[in-house]
Amino acid sequence: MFKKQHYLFLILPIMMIGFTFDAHAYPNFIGHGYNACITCHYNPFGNGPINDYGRAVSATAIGSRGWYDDNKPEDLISQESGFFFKESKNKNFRPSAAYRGLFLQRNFREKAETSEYIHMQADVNLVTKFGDRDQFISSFSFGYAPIPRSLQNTPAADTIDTFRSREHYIGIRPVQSFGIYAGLMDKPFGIRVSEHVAYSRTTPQLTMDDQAHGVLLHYNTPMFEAGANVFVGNMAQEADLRMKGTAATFEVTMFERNRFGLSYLSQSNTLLNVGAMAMHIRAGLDHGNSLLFEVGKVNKKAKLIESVKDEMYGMFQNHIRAKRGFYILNSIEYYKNASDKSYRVRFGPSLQYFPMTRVELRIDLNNTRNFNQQISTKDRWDLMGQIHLWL
Amino acid sequence: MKKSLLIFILLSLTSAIQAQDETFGNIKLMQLYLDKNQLEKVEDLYDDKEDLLSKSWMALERLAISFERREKFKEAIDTYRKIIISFNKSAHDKILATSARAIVSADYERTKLPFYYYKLALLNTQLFGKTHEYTRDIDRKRFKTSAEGFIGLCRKVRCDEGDLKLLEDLLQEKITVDVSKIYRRSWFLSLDLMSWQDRVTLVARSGGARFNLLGTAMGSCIGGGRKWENVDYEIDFEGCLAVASATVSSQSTGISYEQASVPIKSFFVGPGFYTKSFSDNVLVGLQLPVKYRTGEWTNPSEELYTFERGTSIEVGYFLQTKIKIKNISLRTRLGKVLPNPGSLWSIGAIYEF
Repeated sequence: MFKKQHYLFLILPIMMIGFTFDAHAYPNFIGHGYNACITCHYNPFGNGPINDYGRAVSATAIGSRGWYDDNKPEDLISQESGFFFKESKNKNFRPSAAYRGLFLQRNFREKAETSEYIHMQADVNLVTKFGDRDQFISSFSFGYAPIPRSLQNTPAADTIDTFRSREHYIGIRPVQSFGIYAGLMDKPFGIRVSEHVAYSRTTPQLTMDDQAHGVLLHYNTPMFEAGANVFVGNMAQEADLRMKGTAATFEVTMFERNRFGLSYLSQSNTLLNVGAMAMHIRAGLDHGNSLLFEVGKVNKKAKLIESVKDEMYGMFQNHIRAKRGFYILNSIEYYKNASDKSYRVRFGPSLQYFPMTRVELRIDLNNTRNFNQQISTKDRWDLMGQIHLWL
Repeated sequence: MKKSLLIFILLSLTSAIQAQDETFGNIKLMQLYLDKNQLEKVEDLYDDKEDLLSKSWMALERLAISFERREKFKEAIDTYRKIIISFNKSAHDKILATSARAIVSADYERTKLPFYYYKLALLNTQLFGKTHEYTRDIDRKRFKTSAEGFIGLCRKVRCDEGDLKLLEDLLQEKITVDVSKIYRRSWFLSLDLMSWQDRVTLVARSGGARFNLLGTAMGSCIGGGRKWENVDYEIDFEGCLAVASATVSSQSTGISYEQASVPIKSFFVGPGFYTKSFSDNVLVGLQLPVKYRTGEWTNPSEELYTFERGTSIEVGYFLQTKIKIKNISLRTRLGKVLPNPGSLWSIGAIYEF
């Protein structure tokens, strides 16, 4: 019975995507017609600073205009989206700064309720770009980043500096469709959703502190996008902990605003081998609405002890544009460790509000349910309030 | 006395001529800014010299053009209205009061009313057409009504019929979005993957001690219903039968109870509502289900215990989203059925006939 239900859980979204034949940032913004991350970001797979076009899109298509005069022209709002509210006069340098804070209430409204505020990110960035097509690029970010929760109160925490760089690279795009990048970057795998606690990111170990130094190749045309990354680990980490390996992903555009993709990851350090594969779909619907869907399988082999773990995850997210600047999200996630019969489902409605460009507010309510053959446990609810500011 | 009066008149005349010169100077400057497309300067100049320039229709006309170019349609409309009321009121009143056939060109040929009426019709049409993403229909309709009113006035004063037809076409395009408020009826089938938690209470036959058990169920719910929808809303009445499997265990320290794969049947029935405010194809709404549930959990000892309720009727609520792709919809629901702990959620598909 359970197996059939798992099958249904996986097959329904696929079935739905199959019907989006004529269905007319964040990966969700495929709903606005932005299929590729590089349209708005300097990093071809997203994350990090946004380019001038991305700033203008954020100001005039993503952000609400509720705080502006009704008659203020969009081009003026767009001009003010630059660093420190100005249109940049300089072609070669693009400074920026970003902050993300999280108010987290675990076990919301339970006896074990705990609350904390986490400064998730506070960094500055400088992008330099040269060439008539900006084909030579470098990006360097530096700032505060908390010690990863999994390492807190462990000896490994002492080796991590809270002020560090989580992204720096140089790149060249000899032709518009192809680029080579080298430096510290996120690994291209799956859909890079902003929720770093999503099972689709935690299971293959690709969260907010899992960047690695390496070389990334990126190919992008309107119909096809692919990336391959060879990496040697984060050189700021101790050598034993550095994850070395390869990651690759590709997406094919289907029916204009839908993308189907596959991803592959193989990485290891002296303690662990991780192999992962994923299938993902992003579907852009009308009026800025979108669907994301990803299923993946991860294999983890411990090197020092005899231990193999096969994990499966699923992620489905709809992103509903209620009005300009205001979105309703609904995430459904699935996680299963193949070695036992239990599995988890997380159901998470969220509200996302961009009152104006440079400001993002978000509230998430996560309802996690464990399905276990031995014991029935109460649901867990976590409440998260996020603020994201950038200059 | 006469001498004083003469001096006063002379001074007044001189002052009026100076003011007129200054007004013309500023109007020329406004025109220069318009020619150079320095629109903000037009408005800044007007703000600085408002006392003087508000008395000139030429200055107000340039201000209105500046507003129009900057897509500040509401300000442009206010300015044209001010020009009509301040400088053309009697002719305007006469046109309002006279039927189209009775109006002769002499009634308006010494004014620029045809131009102002056309501008007001155009600006209201612009507002109607460009605000559909962030303005409620009820507010937009005011722009449409207003545009139609000025098209009528424009027709009275023999504006170019081709121009007016174009405006009417622009208004008509948007009308098609909200033509039908009539509710259309149809049937639908639904299939959902559903999970919920049940509160089950075991009661000791002697002493009446109560022990709480918690059942976590996962299953499929198949059903259907009738729906009524128009361009704004969708209302439905739906029923579905859920066949699920549950793990039940004790939450009380006084008893040990664990049972896996317990067959559960539930029937959900109730009304639902969606709004199409966000999109015709992405709907958000509410459902109020009544749930009838039976569970085949095992009594650990018929002599010692009894289940408080083998079956139960419960009431709850769902917050639901539906994404429509042709006649298939993807639906997610999250809610609660009282008095059970935990949430009740589902993900599934709906086929609409």
